[in-house]
Amino acid sequence: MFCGDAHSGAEEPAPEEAQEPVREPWKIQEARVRFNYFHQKGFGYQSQAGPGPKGSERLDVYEPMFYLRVRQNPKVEHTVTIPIDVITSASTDAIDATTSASRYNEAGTIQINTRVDTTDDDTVNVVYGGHGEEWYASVFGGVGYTRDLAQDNATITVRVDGSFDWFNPYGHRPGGVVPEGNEWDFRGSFGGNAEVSQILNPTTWVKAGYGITWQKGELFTPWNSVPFLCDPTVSVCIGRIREKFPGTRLKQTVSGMLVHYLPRTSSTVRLSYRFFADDYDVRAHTLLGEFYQYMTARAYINAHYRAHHQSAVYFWTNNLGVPLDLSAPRTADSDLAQFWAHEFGVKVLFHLTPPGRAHQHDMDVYYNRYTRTNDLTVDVVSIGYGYTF
Amino acid sequence: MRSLFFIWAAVILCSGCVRVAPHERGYLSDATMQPVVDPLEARASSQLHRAREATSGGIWSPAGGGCGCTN
Repeated sequence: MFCGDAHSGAEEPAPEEAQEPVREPWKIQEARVRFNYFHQKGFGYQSQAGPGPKGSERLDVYEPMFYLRVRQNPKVEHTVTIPIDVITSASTDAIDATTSASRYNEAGTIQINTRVDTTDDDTVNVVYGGHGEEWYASVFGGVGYTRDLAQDNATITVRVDGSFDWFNPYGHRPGGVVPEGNEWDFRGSFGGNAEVSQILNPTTWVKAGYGITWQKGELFTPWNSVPFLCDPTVSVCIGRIREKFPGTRLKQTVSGMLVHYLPRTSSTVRLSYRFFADDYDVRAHTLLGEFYQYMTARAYINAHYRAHHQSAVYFWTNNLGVPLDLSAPRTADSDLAQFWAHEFGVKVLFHLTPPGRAHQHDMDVYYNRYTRTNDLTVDVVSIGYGYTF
Repeated sequence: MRSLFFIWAAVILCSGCVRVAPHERGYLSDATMQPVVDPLEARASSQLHRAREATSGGIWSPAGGGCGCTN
């Protein structure tokens, strides 16, 4: 009230000019498209697609992806990401082998990130979206806050996220002793994260983070099964039963990253490490090294190597014995077993814009090979195109 | 593991007094120096690992409730 009186009179701007807000049109700043092809082969105990205890995990995925970055005004920016998956042999089980009903599946996700620069040093980031595929749907959302410190030499970010999934587990009918039905199951995931990043010098920055995720609900994968009463000498099992998970799961991660530029050779080195632990007794270490080398001012080559080791969940088994306890957690999912995974990849990117043009476009191609020690290999080929307005 | 975390924390805290002026950040603004070099490539890579390892969630990953297991 005091301020209102103090600023009355001569400082009052002309009414017409003062009330005229400056409205800028929304502007597309960046558009990207990418097409990925995944070819997976291997065998896992959870799959029924095979005569023995280990079934095939063969899978092909065709995945177009779209990305758009739009500036609403000087303080608000949105990014939209849409991946679409077309999967073959998505969930092979006994029923599929006869009808082929689920041999093909399509999945789509839309994710929107809205970033609001509330002040020069404060940013709020909101993420929301949904995912849909056969028998399964999900919505998710989250909000984060970032504070820039010391003239943007350091940042602190905190974030909370949540997702809610619902699915019909009886859309998939692995044979076994579990009665069939037509019910929907649900699960929710809630997470919190904190991250600190710091510029060390004109060519180096680092970051470190901590995250926690708590999940509740039906956490199993509907089409996975567990062999029981197997005779390993002849690779024959009496039957299979649906996997079963505890009702909750608590996950924690600690991660760090170092990024360094080598001016003399025009190279960039990136090193990342992540430690994961949960109350299913999984302990995992993941190390990623990336190297970028500029060949010319408008082209670079990138190579990476990733190593991952994890221990198995405490209820993993590939052969349930007697007495059969239907209430006990169980899984034969090879993704939850103990293994090492190694990945390497090579990428080449070209900037296609002639020098001096304001708009830029680039194109890249990469190949990745992901191999696990428990009999799984994935080859990925990808081609991407980006346009910056 | 705990010692690694403390090493990281020490690096972050001890470097807090370093100030790189905006005009000295030419190399830091290079595309290969950004936290995420290519958003779609990062997403595809995350999806590959999330569906095949037991370690989804925790950092920057709201879901991870098992999966629809698209790939």
